Amino acid sequence: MTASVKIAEATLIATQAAGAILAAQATHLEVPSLIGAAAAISGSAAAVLFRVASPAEDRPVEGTWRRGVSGLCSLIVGALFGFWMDDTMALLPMVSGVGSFFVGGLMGFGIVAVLQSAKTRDAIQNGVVGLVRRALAAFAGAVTGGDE
Amino acid sequence: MIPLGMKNAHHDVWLLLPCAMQVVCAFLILSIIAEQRSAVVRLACLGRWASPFHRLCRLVAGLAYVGAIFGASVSGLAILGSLTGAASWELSQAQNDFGVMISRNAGAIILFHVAGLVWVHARCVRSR
Repeated sequence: MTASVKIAEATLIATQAAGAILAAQATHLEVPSLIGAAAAISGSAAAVLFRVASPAEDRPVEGTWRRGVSGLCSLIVGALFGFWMDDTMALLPMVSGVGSFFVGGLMGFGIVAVLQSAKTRDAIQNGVVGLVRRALAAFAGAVTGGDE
Repeated sequence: MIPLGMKNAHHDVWLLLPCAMQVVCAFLILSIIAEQRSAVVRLACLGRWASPFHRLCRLVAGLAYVGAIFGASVSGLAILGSLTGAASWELSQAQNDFGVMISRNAGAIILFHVAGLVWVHARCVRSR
């Protein structure tokens, strides 16, 4: 038996074992889904790869480690978001239970990245403050309007 | 043959440390690959910097590190499941092996990435 056949057989057996484990996990979702949590972590990490498609120039080398450590916090928050989303995303077509955790992690990292952007943060802050002001004005108008 | 009822071979809280380190280190390298185009070697005969082929190479290298993160997470969470009793020791050990298999498959690509970086570094040092 040649080495390539042995490798092919080993790969096939490993793939079958992996499929069996995934199936076992998927049918025992009442137990905390351990593979799902791993999928959420890797989904959150995979969100960084969107930068590869960005046509922008390279960022300066100086702050690479600082940005990397900052990204770790986003990774953790994104993974927690993915784990919290559970299998909700499985409602989407072609997304399985484990894939749902992955998509959740992807979304979580994206949400954190959007919130980290100063422009978006300011826009959200302005929107919320504006809404609160309008609500307060309407409340004050309703309270004082009846007396006048 | 492992006798039934035997404890998981990976039933050790200290094994969570290398798993976490693998996730952290792989993520840091992944973020460098995503930020800096020079983090992946360019083959002169296959296009210039930021060409579609080079982007594809960066994407593949990045996916390999995502695989390493997934493998380490699967292994680490299997150990965690064994420690907390959330999973049976058979399932936990099988999941651990599954994680190791993914890490090894990712390592096959990471090896080429690291070899390319070493090659470029050696050329830079020699040219000085």
